[in-house]
Amino acid sequence: MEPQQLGFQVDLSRCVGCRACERACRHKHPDMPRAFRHVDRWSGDRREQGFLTMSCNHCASPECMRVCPAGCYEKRRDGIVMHNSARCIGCGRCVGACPFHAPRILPHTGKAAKCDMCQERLAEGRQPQCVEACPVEALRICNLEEAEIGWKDYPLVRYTQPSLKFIRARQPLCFWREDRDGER
Amino acid sequence: MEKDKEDLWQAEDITGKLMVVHRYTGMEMVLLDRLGDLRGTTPDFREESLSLLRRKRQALQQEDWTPFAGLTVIPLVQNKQLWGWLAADCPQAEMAENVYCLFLELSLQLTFLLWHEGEMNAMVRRHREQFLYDILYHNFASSDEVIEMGKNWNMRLDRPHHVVVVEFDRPLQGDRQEILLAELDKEWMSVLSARFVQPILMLLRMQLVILFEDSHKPPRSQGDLAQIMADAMAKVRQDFPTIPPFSVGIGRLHYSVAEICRSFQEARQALSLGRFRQPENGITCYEDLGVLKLLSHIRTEELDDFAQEILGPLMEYDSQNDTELLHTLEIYFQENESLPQAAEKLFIHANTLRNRLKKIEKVLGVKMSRADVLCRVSIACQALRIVRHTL
Repeated sequence: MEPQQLGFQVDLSRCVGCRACERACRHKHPDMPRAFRHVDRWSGDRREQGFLTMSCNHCASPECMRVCPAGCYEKRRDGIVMHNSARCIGCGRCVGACPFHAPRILPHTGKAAKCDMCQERLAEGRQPQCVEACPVEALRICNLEEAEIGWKDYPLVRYTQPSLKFIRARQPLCFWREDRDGER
Repeated sequence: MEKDKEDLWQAEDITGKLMVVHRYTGMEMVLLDRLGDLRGTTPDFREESLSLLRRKRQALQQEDWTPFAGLTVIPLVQNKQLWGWLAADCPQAEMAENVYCLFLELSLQLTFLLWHEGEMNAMVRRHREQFLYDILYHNFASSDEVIEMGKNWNMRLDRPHHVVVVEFDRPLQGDRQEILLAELDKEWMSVLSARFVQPILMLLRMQLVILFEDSHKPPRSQGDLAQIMADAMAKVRQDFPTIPPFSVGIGRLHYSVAEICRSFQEARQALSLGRFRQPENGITCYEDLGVLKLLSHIRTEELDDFAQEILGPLMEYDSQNDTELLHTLEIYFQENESLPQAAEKLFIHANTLRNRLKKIEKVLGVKMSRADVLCRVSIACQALRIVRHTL
């Protein structure tokens, strides 16, 4: 298999903040106190309010891989960053190092865990649970090998190169119905 | 006629096929590949003709045969792709028909051989790149298995390896980046081969990744390696003066194959963060990143607030009085607080620099002789540089 980089594509105009992706993730990982995917509210520059769905971004230069002393992390040829919990010693370095706080320490095992992009579903030719659950198709899987994304936030984010592509929010089109007397 | 063609088929390699045609026709011939490298020749092909063919490669590529008056040149093309040129030291008009037929037959068979070799090389390269990808991203189950597989590629992965990443400092348009990276790959290979046993080079996501084993005892320090890289960089620039600026990141030496992934990420981080110190043509070791490693985890807005808090009065003074005190301070820290070196870099006398530093102390209201103040101001300068390059 040729190396590629799968990633999530989020259409910020489409996302309505229904949290279906978050719930689907929680349904898949019922033993987690919080789902790997979470939806946050934010104030964008063009819309009064927006929603941002985030989980592990399967970075091109994963910080978790660099800091892990036990070598638990590996990046598959399709770009998915996997965590091997059998080797994990629960030191929590990956939790602190990840700029997106994607890995979490599970309270019942004391080991780290993170989103694996539902790799077993991908192997069956299906979409990850969160992508499949999105009713407005705001969340998709795409190949980011060709995409150039200019990250500007903190230097670490620019360095890790998260595999996340945003389609910027457009100004919503508003249609007003006029009454017969010409008033709105 | 049939006999000579049969003999031609029987010959397995390039030289063998050339010799068969030479035996039947008495012609002297030469085969060049698409890069103009000599791939095979009959014993008495004239040296002048060979150097003419090599010199006039552009004419060959444009299929302009006028410079090659005494020769017959056939471009070897398969699926619209050029693989090389076959030349004979006899003009086509002087060739008998059966000789020319055999010459054409030879060109077809050599085209096939070059195409086949190219396909095989591409496949080998692809498999090698996938294998290296797996090493660089720790995508394997057992280290022993990988070490064994590495032996197939002549890689001694059981020994400690340094990882170095090279990348162009400015984004280049379209295919140009790939072409230049391939050139860079070739240049680095030739420079490093002279110093190291089988350096491993790979192009990955518009970066050139170099792995080489360290058989020194004790192993080379990152400083030694940076010096070697600086020499290599100078040599590459000398051989290829038009190459755009590029920087180098060096990871720490790790002793097991499972840790190469970590060294790779360290080299990439050194390359990326090193640009905050030297935006172009820099060589950065991961060990030397120091406080930059910590600063990289902080949001740019917070860094900006911190820098403004510490250096704000100085910036204000500079803008009001049209002075360059902040620049002076940055150069002073860059030159490791050395007065003569910083003065030289600023093109001023050391005493002028002393006066400026006193002025800086006065404006900031601090004493630079105190360690905590010095540390704070130095970190603020680094934070400011990150902010400038990020926003």
